[in-house]
Amino acid sequence: MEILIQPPKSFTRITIRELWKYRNLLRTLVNRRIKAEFNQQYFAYVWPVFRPVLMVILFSLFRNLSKARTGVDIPYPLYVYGGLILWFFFTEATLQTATSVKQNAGLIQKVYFPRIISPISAILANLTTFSITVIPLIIMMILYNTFPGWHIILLPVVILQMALLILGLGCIFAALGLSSNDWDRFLGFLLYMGLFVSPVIYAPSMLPDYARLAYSLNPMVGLLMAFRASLFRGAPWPGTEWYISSVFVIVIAFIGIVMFQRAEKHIVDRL
Amino acid sequence: MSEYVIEVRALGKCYPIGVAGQSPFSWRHLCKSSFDMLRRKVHSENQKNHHWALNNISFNVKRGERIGVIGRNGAGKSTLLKIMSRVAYPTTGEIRIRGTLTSLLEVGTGFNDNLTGRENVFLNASLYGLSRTDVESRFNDIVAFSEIGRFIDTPVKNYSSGMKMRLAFSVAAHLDPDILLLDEVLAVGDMSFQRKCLERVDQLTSGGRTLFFVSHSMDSVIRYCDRCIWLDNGIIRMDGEVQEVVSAYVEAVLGVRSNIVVEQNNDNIELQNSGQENQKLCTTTETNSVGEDGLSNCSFLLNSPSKFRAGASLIKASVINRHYAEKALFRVDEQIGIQMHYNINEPGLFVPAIHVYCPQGTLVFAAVPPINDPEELKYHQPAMVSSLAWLPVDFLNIGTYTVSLIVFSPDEAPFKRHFIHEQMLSFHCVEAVEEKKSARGLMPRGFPGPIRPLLQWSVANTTQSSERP
Repeated sequence: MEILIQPPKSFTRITIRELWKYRNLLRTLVNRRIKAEFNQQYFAYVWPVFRPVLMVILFSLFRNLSKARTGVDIPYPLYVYGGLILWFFFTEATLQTATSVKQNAGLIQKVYFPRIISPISAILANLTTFSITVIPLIIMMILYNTFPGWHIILLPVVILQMALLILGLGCIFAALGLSSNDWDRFLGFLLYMGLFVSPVIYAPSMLPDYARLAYSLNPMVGLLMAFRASLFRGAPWPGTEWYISSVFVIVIAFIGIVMFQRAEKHIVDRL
Repeated sequence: MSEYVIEVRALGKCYPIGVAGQSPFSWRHLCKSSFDMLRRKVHSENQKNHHWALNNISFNVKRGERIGVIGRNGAGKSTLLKIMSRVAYPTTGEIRIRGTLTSLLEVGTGFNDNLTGRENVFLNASLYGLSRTDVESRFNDIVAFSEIGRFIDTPVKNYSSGMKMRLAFSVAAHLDPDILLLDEVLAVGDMSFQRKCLERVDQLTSGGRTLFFVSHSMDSVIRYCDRCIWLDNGIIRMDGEVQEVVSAYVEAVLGVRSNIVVEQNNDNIELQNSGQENQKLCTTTETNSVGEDGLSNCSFLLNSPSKFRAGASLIKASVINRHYAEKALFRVDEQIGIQMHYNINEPGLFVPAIHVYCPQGTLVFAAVPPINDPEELKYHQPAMVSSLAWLPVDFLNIGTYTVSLIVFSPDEAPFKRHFIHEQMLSFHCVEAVEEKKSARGLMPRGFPGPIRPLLQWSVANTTQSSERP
């Protein structure tokens, strides 16, 4: 085995073989994140569920009391819960991915590994939290007697798209974050605003047709709709929105990885 | 395929440094750097803003070599190790490494305080590329080595700092790389643990592994390395046999002078380090000028005062080992000789003497030749004399000793000193090799006091004999 160390090129290539070699480290980093998150709590596995469940109760109350129109065909709590868990997965994971390099600074400055492992580990750890929040969803589906149709086979594709979107966005902001901490603040703001322009607590059918196209430029629109459609038989599979999201996801993931790999050579010097 | 495990070619690392009075987060800087970026000028900025931590370094390492890297703070040692362990990128040049490499830049890297010792062992080992089954097979060894015992399932945050270090080093010591990079990590734990660490490193390197060891402790470098690289301001100042390099380093950095040569003038006596041509005039004072290369060259000029005419004058003096070679670095079990050559200018009784000062600056002892018959040291005509005094072995402590050189006449009252060169020579004492019996015994740290003699000890258990009538 020969290692050649040279001055950095403008773009550091990622080789699948090297990533495979470091799969143990990836597993360790994911485990470490999960353990750190659930450490020293008696209700460790309840907290991730607590927030979306509480919000579902609140939103359902509002809706029923105000008789507001939301454009939702399937049971509203189910609709909102499904949207919220995916949305929280998106925001938490993106924020953590963007700051993962700084969080792992101690490691990065001392041990060599392909740096892209750091953002990937943040996504995988959040995926675990996400899967916990799916349990109440299943219970609710049984209670409301709503079951998935054949679109369920597309669920893994939607989750993969989510992961790629998070990786892309996270990597873009991780790379930018090396130059200034302003970017972390900006990302937090962006994600906060995102909740209001995404179909989390309402359905896009509420919007007039002329606004639909501009609305679906938000990649989360297509993904949220596809996620629900693959879970609930009653929800229609999105057409244009999903195609737009798919293109966006690939473009953002590509830009993110390129930016991250370009910034990779500076990571240690700038941390 | 080459015989070298590490090949370093023209390696350089350049860091940008801030410009005085300009914060990197000021608007002006932002505008300027954006503008530079547009013009793709990023790399051609003026040299003032850059610091070359390493500059054009080249060397090769053969399999099984044990290399110490020494140098002052900021000489580039850690940068070199960082680049070798692929944590930082070089700016120029390249390194080829054949074989697996583990670097211990800092013990306890990646430890998570909230996890238990056991979890951290697995975590830490996987950072260094060990698989779970590898760790499981070594787990018991690791725990036994660390002496953590029953605390292994306690969160690491409740450990004492020493325990944390011990556990971390144990993991590190049970990795099995071809090349091991160590950066000052051996200074962990108490004495017995340190000894264990060093034994472990010995064990690893004797199995044909290559060791790369950065340290400020000359003792450990001499003990564990057979080759030494001295880095100074980003360049290799010296590369060679460990004793040689370490003594040169000690001589340069601690300002130790193992020899002096005095040039004779008619009225003035000038002392200088061999080869230097400094001409400075001052009256009965010494000027210690530090040369640009960091070596301390001294040019002393003693204008003999009108009060006395020097009846004797020093020509040269040196510190030598038992092979009569000039040296600045000695192990405590080595013989140290103080040699003086001096001129006698007039008839009379001339006795040479040395004063030896300990590292703390106090006078340890003064010594004269043990001669009873004054005739032996009486000179009737001008002469050239050489004297040599051997210091006892296993006698001095660790550190830099300085020597004053004197020639005086005891038959004139008060003692007439023909010359006294205060603390002109110096030499550095280091610990003897580990296996040898030394006055260090089992003591963990340095000994107080100016000397550390090896005494005749007898320690006997007298319990039994006192019980018997």
